[in-house]
Amino acid sequence: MIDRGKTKQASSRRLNRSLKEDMISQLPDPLICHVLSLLSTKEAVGTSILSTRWRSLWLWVHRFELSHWEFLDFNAFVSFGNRYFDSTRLSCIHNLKLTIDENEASYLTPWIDALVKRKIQHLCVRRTGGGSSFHEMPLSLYVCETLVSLKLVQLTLVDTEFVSLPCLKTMHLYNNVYPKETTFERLVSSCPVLEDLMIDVLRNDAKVYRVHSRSLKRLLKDMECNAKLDISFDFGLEAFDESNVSSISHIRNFLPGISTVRDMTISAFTFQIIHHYSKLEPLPQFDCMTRLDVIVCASILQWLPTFLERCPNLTSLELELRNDEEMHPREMNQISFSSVPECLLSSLEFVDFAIWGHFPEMKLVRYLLKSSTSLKKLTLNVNHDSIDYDIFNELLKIPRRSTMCEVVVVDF
Amino acid sequence: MSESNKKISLISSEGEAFEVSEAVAREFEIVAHMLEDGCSGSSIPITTVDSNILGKVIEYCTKHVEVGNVEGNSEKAEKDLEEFDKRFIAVEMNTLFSLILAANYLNVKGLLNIGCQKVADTIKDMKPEEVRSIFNIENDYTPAEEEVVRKENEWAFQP
Repeated sequence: MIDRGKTKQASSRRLNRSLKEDMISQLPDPLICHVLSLLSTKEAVGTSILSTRWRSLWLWVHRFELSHWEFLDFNAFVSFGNRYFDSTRLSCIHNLKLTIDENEASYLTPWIDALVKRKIQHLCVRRTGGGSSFHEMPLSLYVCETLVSLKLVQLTLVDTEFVSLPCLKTMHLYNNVYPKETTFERLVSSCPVLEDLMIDVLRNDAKVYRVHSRSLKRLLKDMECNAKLDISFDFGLEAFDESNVSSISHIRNFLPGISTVRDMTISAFTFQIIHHYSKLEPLPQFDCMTRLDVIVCASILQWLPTFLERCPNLTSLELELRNDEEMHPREMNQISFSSVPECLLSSLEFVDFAIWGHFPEMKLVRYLLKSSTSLKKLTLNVNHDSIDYDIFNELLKIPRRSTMCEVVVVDF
Repeated sequence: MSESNKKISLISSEGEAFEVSEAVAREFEIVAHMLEDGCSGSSIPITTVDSNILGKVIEYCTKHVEVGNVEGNSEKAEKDLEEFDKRFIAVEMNTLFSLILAANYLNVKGLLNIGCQKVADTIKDMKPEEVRSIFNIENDYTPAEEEVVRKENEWAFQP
């Protein structure tokens, strides 16, 4: 420290000799602001004392970090913010990191409103401290047309009918509260260019987090969370193309992020893409997954056991088959299941399966009943109008490996 | 091919001509725009920049174009360039501000950034009196005014 002080003093004397006039104050405002934007907020504001020329230049800096703990007290923090987040000023604020405390936060709405008006692009708001009251983010944030990245920590995201975030590419949401389950879904699906989504939910949160996005390239979810994930995305693909290297790397980056999910719902198209991808690269292990709800296209039904091998702790499986136009009935008849994944031999207890009658569904039923050692209940949701065989008769013919297995047939 | 070999003369405020390749001239965004707008002249007057500074800006751009053209070994090249930038911007204050103004006028973003960063690094960790003395800033506040400003932004002056 002392050494550095000496060096600074020495260089300051040398510089002083070489400088006859005050060149820095003669720079145009935007250039001084450029310099100020490279300083910490505290240092930038500190330049206001240099001379009258510098008094309010810092107000034009469009990159700021504001933390409540840097202020003497709460009032000083709020009154400073009120001055800075003045929505009548025309200068843009591009980048803001705001750290607030658990105190009452009525200041938040005018501040965020001002940021939206002043064309904020990168916003991070985090609430620190304990307590269970998570401040509500104002609705103006949901319709911010300039926002590119958004990071929110320990806040409440209230429900709204209308969300429009046309430029948002990155959204990281940590430990926030969503009073309505649909809010998160609406947020994600209303961002047409969203590429990077990170969610970390509170431990006692048992809500379903639905992610429906066509643009997403990366999704990360916290390991210890207790929440459910419903995924339906196409990795930006109309159909899987092995030569599309960038989409393959998207999938490679994407899958580890969802590998810690406990409860997962996968759409038919997403499942198909995962299947194609698995032919090229190994899938991650879904060790935490206990419940899987998936729609499987008939053409990849034979692959289902291979996928289940990656889910060794699965206890509950909900299945529906979907028709594949490219598949000939003869091919369907040839479907067979050879391997038995670990979960069928140890953890799988509940299977819920929709029977339409026009798929090799009974083959799958037979396979599950014959191979599962711990199965407690197999529920078949049968559409009797569309099947032309006696399902009870068929079921009686199938040996059950699990002695405690109950088979329930439900009409739908 | 012939385009990249094309030479352009940049004329300083003293009327001195600096002959550079088009690729280097294009590093000056202002020149690049002129060329795109169909300015076909082979000599371009840069009336607000003197020979000393224009020479330096050209040196900066030439180095960056050269490194940009070398293929492979990008990590080492990037490090070399960083070293070059560091040495290049270690100049006395008058030159530093002239370079910043020239980079701003000619729109050479990389140079503008390292110039402003150099100034910011100088201000960092300094007391207001020290900053005033380094940059020759005259404190034109009355003691009463200074007290008001100090009160207004009190938090920023806490250690």
